[in-house]
Amino acid sequence: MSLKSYIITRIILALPMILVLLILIFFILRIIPGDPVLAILGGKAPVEVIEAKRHELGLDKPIIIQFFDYLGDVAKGDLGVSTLTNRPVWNEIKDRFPATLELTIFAFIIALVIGIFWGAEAAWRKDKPLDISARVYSIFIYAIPVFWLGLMLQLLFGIYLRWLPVGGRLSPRVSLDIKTGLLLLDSLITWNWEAFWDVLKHLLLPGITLGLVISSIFLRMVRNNTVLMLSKDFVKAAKARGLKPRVILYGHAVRNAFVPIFTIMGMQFALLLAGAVLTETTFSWPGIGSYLVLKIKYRDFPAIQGAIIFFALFVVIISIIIDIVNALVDPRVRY
Amino acid sequence: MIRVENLKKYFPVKRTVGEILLRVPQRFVKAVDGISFTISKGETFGLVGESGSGKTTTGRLMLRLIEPTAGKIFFEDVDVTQLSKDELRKFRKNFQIIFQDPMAALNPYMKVGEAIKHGLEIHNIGGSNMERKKLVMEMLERVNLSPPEDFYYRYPHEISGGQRQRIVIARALILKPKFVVADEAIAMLDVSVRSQLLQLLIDLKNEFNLTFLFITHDLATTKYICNKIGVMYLGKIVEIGKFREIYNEPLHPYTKALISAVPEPDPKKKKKKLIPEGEVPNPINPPPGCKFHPRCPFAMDICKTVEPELKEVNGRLIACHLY
Ligand SMILES: Nc1ncnc2c1ncn2[C@@H]1O[C@H](COP(=O)(O)OP(=O)(O)OP(=O)(O)O)[C@@H](O)[C@H]1O
Ligand SMILES: [Mg+2]
Repeated sequence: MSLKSYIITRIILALPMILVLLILIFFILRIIPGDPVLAILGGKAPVEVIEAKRHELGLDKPIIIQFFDYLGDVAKGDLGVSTLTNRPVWNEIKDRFPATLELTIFAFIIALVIGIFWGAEAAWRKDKPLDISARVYSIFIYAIPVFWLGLMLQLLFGIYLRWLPVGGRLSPRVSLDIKTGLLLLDSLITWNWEAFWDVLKHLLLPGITLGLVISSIFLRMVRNNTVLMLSKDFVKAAKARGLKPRVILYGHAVRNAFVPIFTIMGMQFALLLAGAVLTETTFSWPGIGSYLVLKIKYRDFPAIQGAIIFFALFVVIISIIIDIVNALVDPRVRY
Repeated sequence: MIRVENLKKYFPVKRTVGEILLRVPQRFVKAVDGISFTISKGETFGLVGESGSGKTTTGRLMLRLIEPTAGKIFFEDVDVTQLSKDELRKFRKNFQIIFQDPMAALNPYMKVGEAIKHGLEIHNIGGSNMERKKLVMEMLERVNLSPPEDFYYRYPHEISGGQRQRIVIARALILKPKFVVADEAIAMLDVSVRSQLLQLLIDLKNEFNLTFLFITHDLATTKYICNKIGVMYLGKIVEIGKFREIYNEPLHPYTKALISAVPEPDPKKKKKKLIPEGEVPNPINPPPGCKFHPRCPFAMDICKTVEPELKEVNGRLIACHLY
């Protein structure tokens, strides 16, 4: 099977999954308590007003009809209109997505650096203090809740030391031309150093919070796989040839250790998004995660459904990209 | 040419946190427990013994792939154990290793030609890349992988097990080593290609004038290649001598048992099999005295308390109270 037909198969296989997700979220939202109309108008609105609003939103139709109407719209690429803001859901998601993307990329880089270097060095010095501390670190970080870690960092660096802001992406006094929505990139391409520093300061705490959480899983995987690789004969062969230890470690052991890690990175990415929801709420980060939480509070059905579909698509696309990269770098993988 | 003196390797046994807290003393697997022997230039020394006797550990120690607990290794009067890390790295082209499992011995991401060339690059042999490639091609041809261009660009998973082992051999020999450790080099291969590879090793040994340490648990294969053999049991060498002599007239009870287990091609010559009773004892807690005594049909009282030293008997070395 060629890579191209593999990708097409993957996309086709993803469609039923997304459909099931859509059905679940659609009906769960309507079964659980909470009424979008009351959430918008408040409990004290007159009955006629409530009924009019209900009719306007189409919520007075039978649920099955509502569902097929919605499905038809989605198939046409229309995610509907937010019941809270009356703006198209797709536009709202598009506006907020860069914030999530910037945060996740930043966190991912932090996690990769910690995971690869600490993991590799720990594997090299198995059972020595650096290795033991790596194991303790990863269990510890894995066990503490994201928001608690975020709160502690806010308390220390934001409130107590006052080095870093505790929320938002950009200080109101700083101006920045927004082009890509990735503010770090925008400030770089416009040579706006003041904005760059400000954006970076805002990104640091949420990025580190999320990055640390992901790093614990990474670190463990890199460490364990590298230990395994270091015991392999091809590593001994490299040593027997007289290769330098650093090259053996990073060029041979870690490189091989990374393959299985890379393949499950798609799943890690889904986890990363879940972490992003909590991190974004803790740091009032205006991304999709905090968007979702806000919309859940107001029972904004189209927005919640839209955000979930978007997340699902995002995870599917990322995992396909990872598979493609994997096929390109690993000579053994052929689809 | 190669002399090993009182070589030891003790692996610490991992303790649990509870044991560390209870101050249970650190125990060791005495994988290699004070062995000495010499291999002369051009000789093939066969190291035989059951699984777990410490053969692989000895081979790795001699190449200093692992650090010895004690002992010395002289390579043409250079004490390899005294070389600094940097000196050792440069010195490594003098001795190479052929592994048992060729799949595990090859990096799955390196084209096999590149893997062979890698050693030349590390030791800066051959000047230009073109020149190195030419050397690799010649070597591929030499291990009967031809046409070499067909193999150079393949990955390990794209060739057969026998071909992989040829690559491993080529990779070891491209550095023109003087000493080669072959650790069960043909044990994992398909029976059909074993004899071909054994023949290849014999040819290469003669052509490159190699000195070999040939590790195997299968005494039958030593017949074709070894001049001298050493029999190992639980980290100790129990008998060393010329292959012919030992094979025809084993003296140590353990050697007798090993040789009686070799299948005899001639069915008329029925041999009495002397399979040693019982299991190989645990190397963490070896029996006192002679380590073989619990399984030895000739065990005497002295064997249970006094460990026999290697001593010369009829021109060979034996560690047994019977002699
Ligand atoms: N890295 C290690 N850590 C701890 N113990 C080890 C290690 N390597 C080997 N040992 C132990 O040392 C002893 C000798 O092992 P070794 O691999 O040298 O035996 P062998 O004679 O090569 O056996 P085989 O025929 O199975 O290859 C065994 O008891 C083994 O469990
Ligand atoms: Mg072995």
